[in-house]
Amino acid sequence: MSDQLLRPNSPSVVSEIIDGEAVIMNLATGHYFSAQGTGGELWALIENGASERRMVEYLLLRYRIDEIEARTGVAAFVSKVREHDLVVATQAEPAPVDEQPATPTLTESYAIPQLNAYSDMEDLLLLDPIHDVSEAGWPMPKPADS
Amino acid sequence: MPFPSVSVILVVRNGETYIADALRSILESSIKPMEILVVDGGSTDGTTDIAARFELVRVIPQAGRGIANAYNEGIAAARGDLVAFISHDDVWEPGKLDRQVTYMHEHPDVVISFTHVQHVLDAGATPPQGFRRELLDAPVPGYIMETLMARPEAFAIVGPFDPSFAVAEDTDWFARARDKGISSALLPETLTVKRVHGTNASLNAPQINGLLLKALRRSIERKRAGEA
Repeated sequence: MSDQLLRPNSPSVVSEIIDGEAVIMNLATGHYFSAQGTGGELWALIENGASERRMVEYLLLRYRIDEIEARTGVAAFVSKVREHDLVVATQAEPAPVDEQPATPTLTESYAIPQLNAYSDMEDLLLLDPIHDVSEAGWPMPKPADS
Repeated sequence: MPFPSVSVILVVRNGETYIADALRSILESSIKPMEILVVDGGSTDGTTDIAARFELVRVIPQAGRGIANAYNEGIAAARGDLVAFISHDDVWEPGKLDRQVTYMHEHPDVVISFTHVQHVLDAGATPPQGFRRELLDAPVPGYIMETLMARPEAFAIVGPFDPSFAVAEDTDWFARARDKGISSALLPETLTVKRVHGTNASLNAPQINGLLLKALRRSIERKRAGEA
């Protein structure tokens, strides 16, 4: 099990956790991804920089599963995010503890971490349409506009 | 079947630098639009004065706010059998209307169509941060508003542009159109020139990524609901 830290492959990979679901976009390939539940939780760890060991520890703290099950789930998820170039290894120190997700509470509702991939918007996302942001043309509205 | 009429919608705010080029380019076709609707979002420069000098132009002061709302107001006012869009800072190639209107006439089953687009760097400008420079090298399929020609029924099927998107409202609409399975065509010709200048920003810009991710999440949710 690797202690190598993984983080999102920015700037080509951007992501956001929305209602517990990780929505991840790879602007280099035009593909986008969704990870719900445990997958979203693992991605949230990766956003802060996390090793596979850290992810396994997280799952063991959070779910009533054994280490084999946790390792298998993490390995498969990490293999998927690597396959789609969503992560890079980093030398950086992990984020301070207070930036990590809150200490999990034990639950039995474990589901194997999944990453769903979508490629139907590839031509749109690779086009990278540009948008006006200044007062000439259309500005980015102020927060009150959105 | 009679040849379809077309309304051209141009939404703008403070676009005096480029709007004359855009309006001129619309008229460089044998087929003239029945109207050019300039939806003005409260310009404080010479935009509306310049626009009003062009034939077929009707300036519509925008009642609401934001670019999605401006598109929706333009669509609501349009009377043509087809609706086309152009940005104040882009130009159509001569004959765009001839080619695209003819295509839509000959393909009544197609609800929306696009053309290829060439991105051109404005003289003296540097591309915005994150812009894909390779887009300047060759035309690409133009899934953008400036090449779009739609039958009005498209907006009945897909719905209006979503004003909750400050930008990326077009990406959201195109994603919704795809998820609805709307009949779409891409013309092989390059009929739109998109000007890249210092005042536009790439979708790679951090402030826009969040909105793009929101549009993608909605598409994911629609797919999930469809699978259920």
